[in-house]
Amino acid sequence: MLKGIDKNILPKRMNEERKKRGLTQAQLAEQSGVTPGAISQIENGQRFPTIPVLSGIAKALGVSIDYLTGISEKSELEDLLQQEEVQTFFRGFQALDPKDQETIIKQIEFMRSKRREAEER
Amino acid sequence: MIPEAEAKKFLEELGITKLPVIPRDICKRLGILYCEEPLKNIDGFLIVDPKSGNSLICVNSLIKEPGRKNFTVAHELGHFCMDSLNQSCSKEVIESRKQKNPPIELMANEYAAELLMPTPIYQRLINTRSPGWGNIKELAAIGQTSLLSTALKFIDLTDYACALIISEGSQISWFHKSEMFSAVIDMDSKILSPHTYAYAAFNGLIPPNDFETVKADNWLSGRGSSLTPKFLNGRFPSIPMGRFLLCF
Repeated sequence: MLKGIDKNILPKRMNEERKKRGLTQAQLAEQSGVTPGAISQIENGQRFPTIPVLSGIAKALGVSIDYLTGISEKSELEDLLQQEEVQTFFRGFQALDPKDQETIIKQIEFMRSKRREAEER
Repeated sequence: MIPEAEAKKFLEELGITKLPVIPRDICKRLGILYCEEPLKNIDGFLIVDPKSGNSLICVNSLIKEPGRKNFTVAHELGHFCMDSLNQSCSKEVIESRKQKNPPIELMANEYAAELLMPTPIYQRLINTRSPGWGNIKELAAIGQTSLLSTALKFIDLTDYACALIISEGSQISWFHKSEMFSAVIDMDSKILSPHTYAYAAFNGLIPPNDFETVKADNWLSGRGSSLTPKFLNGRFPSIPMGRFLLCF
């Protein structure tokens, strides 16, 4: 699973992705189920996490393990954009007027929250 | 990769310093899906999507002993931590120290034992206790661990000379002995001596609950076998055919 990783890439990408999402280390720690100390040590390059913890962090940041560890150069979003159906969706979305776009965004957010609720139950 | 070190590192990352360690809670915290299903020949399995890290641990819902379920989840977490992904683990390998088992399964057992029963905490608990089922049951209740895994941990850390001998189908299946246990357990014949309580138990007799003195050569051979062991019989829920603890 972690063959071909560059251990130096993880701290940099984790820091970038966390800041991109406006999260503090403590918030990322809470969302990924680990201690703030562990997050700090990983970002400072003092510790390489165990695989389940790495997976928890990747989930909290919404990126793949491959991207975080440098196995893949593409973020999950970039990977997604390679898919044909996603491209079709975005082309259709772009063609809509701003009000319809807003309705679709709200609809997606509603469906995601329903799904989260179902997963938590 | 050293399983004990990996388990210690994992506990540090999670900030777990107190007993009991509940591996299902760890799964929840890390977003690892956990389920229980009735499984026929296996007690647990792990599925991981290597790219996304999405993962699922499934444990046999037919396992009756809660501590054994905990051990099975911890065993699968061990596979996850040690990068031995997408494993399915049979009933025979979970908790077992049988040397013929695949090394990866023995390592996952070592990992699980350390995750559920961290040595720094258990060393203190075991230092003040002598071998016996009462103490092992008490420790199992504290850690919410199985009797078998607790007995093995006890033997790993105790200063007493004692051993656990697992017998199945009227034969010695495997054993685990403490550092101080100098005698050699007779595995050549593997057939239980008719003078042991294990043999009697397999023939329908009810074994004693307390320590009994038996002739050492019923169980032991070679160096140290002139000692007369005290013998305690019992049964693990996970091994229907019996278990036996010897101590001097």
